[in-house]
Amino acid sequence: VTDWSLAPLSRAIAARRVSPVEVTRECLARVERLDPSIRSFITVDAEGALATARELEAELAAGLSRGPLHGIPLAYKDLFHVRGLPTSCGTKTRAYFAPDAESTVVARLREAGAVTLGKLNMTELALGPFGDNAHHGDVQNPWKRGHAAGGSSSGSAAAVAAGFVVGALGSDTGGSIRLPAACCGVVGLKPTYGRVSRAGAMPLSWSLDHVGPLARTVADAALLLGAIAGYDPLDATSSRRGVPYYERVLETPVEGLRVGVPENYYFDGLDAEMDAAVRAAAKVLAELGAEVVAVRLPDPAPLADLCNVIARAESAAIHAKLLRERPHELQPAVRSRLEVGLRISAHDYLQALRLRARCAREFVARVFAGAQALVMPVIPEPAPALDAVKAGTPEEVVRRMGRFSRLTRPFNGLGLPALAVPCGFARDGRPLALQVVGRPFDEATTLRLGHAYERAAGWVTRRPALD
Amino acid sequence: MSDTDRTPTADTDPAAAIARLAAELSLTDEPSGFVAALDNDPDVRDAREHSD
Repeated sequence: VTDWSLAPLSRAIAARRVSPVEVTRECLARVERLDPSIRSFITVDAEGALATARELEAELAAGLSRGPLHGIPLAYKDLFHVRGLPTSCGTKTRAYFAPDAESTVVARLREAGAVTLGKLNMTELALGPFGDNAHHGDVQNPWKRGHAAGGSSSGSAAAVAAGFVVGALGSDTGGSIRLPAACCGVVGLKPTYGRVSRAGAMPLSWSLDHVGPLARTVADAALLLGAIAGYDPLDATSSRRGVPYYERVLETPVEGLRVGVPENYYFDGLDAEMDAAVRAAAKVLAELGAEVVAVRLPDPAPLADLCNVIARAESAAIHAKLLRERPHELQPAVRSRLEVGLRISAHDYLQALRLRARCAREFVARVFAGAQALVMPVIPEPAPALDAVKAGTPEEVVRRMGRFSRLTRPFNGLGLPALAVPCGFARDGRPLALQVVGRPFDEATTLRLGHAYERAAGWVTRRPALD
Repeated sequence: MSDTDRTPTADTDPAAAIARLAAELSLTDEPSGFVAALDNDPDVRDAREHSD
């Protein structure tokens, strides 16, 4: 069961070939046996998960089904508030974040029949792209131990890759869903800003935070997105726009879709194997009938500067109490990044927000006049060694973080949907990944392209050898 | 400096980066223009969708 993706597992549960309790027990046993060497979980809620699974099993026995997520084991990055469980946000403090209500996305998945296995490890305060954590252990890459799982949703990606859960939730302020998905060889989607509620999830930057799913396949990510997307009165930035049935559009052929491949910035200085794999993926899309064209994108450097100002100012404001009262508890690079925000003026912050609006308007008008989606790499190199990324002064570590996330951050600033899909493996077995970026609120086309590529390429059947 | 090596300057000198870029702003630019930019993309604005 732990080798299955969500869709076949859902069919097996619905057909009563396997029960929610059996699935939950098998996943928990795998976590207990293998997670001590992966460190993907911060909290395992075995008792709560089994109790929920028993209730869901009784519902099925009574002829009641909540839909495709009925009895499906999931886990959540430890910044989503889950009823009855502590939320550390990767900090030293066990219950750092304690809002009044459960996070909207977790509540929606619970209603849809998901079983919560526990809370997943992450970079401290979601500030870092490598998945190292001095308090809860560095998350290990399931494909190559000693290498980064990516961050900040490190546990979410590693748990899905390791077969502990069939899906997970993460958050993405500068790439924190897509970077770990790419490092761990799973699918990760950052939806459009406003598409998914952030209520009950620890904020890092109100203007740049996004919530989204990680899963083994694009179809699974589509299913999870459908369950969590849509207006939420508890999140003032949540969009009232309707939510399509994503799983229904996945099979629509990609023939005729115009797909842009950036000719500037996004392939500069790329690892050779990553470069070749992403270009080969674009070729697969062309063979499937998409019209693949070279495009020149606006220079992302100004946008990166603006986003840094916005992210640093907002994160320092949000976490000011921790920074003021217990700075010694923070990892040096995390503290260093937060402290920058204390020196940003209100004037600069407001100018950055105004400039960001202009960047988004110009990008959408100019780039999407000639293409319906873009494809490019997610990470500049396969998952780096943990020892290497942690070495040096805090300033050196922060610079390294910036380089590693330079291909994902622009799309947080622009608020566009962006999907990470596995696109092969380096010679030493580390995953390679493709990023598909869509028009605002057009997750459907983004997922459709990812699904078509995934099925044609066939990488999705590979699993890391953990046993 | 290549794109690969370029680290956003705002971490070290945010005021300079913002001042340079803000010269492009007009009086009508406001932060909420960001949400409007996402919502007003005409090709997806009228896409057939349902509310759940």
